[in-house]
Amino acid sequence: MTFADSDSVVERARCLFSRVALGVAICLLAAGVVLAEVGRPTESLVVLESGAVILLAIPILNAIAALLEEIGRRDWPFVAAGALVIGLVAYSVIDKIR
Amino acid sequence: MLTLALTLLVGVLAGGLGALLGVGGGVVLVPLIHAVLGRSFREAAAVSLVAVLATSASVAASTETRKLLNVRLALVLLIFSVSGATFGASVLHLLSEQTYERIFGITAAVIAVGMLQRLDKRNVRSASAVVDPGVLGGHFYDEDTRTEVYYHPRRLPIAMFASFGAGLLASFLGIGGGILVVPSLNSWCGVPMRVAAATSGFMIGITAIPGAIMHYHLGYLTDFRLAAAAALGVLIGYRLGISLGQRTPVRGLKILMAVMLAIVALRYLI
Repeated sequence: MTFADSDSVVERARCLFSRVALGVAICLLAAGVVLAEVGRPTESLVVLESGAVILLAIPILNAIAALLEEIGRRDWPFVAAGALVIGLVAYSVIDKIR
Repeated sequence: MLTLALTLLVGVLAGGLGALLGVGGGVVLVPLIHAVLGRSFREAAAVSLVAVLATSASVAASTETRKLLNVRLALVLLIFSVSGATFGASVLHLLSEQTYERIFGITAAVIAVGMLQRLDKRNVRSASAVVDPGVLGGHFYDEDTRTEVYYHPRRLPIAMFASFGAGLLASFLGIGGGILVVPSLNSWCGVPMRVAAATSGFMIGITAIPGAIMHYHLGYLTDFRLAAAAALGVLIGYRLGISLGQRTPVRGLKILMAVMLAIVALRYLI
């Protein structure tokens, strides 16, 4: 079962989001490097961290999209698998933020 | 400025080789940042994880990959790779710099041997067709053979075990883990190489998250400029590698890569 088997709203949104988010992340990372080189370290750090956060968000949202696809198909074993994966990732993120 | 330019160049090299050889950029990026730029192994691994996230995002955004990615197989294997990564991240602070180097040396040696054993397998070749894809299988149109290829994954416990190991390596060493997942899916589980590479590309981003968060939390990611330059370089190199894929003598590159990895292994183990 591939993403291409489905032309759902979720899949179209996932694809569009991934492209836009990757583009934004690339721009932020490039801008952050330039800002650091022109002597703006504080602004540079904020911009670079924002780029890194977007890079972290892309795979998480892709996993959520895969979960939503399986919910739409009512294929509960794979819904459980997706929920478990997102739960594990959420645990590792929230545990460090606390 | 020179450091950033060097990092960008190292990223391009890592991303290009990763795309051409299907090994992931991290296994090239980490020793180069460590040896060429003189950064600590922990920092090199942290920088590499940001580059792994960028590569995975690029795979997820690709229209070509969308046709090949097996989401259900990825979800099942992610349970094991994310578990491995979470466990690896939780014991990260217990390992010394020397232990990291030893683990990387052993991994590099294993990858070098594996690469030499798979000299004639291209990253873009598909497996033969299978009629019944089953619940975890799938199908795709293969441009090379101009046929619809059906596949049915077998011996999944091997892929599950490899995925757990890939997660551990992602957290410990900053490498994506595709080097374990792709060959195991293709050689032992009967998944076509292109599907295995796309599925692994989707998995590595999610698998990298626990390690990336922990490296940041422990203060190993000290220079975001370096991480940004590496990520941008890997993205450029990955695109170049994909576009050069069909025209490049992969056999020669694999031998070169195996020799480089053997040198890296000797450097870290002796």
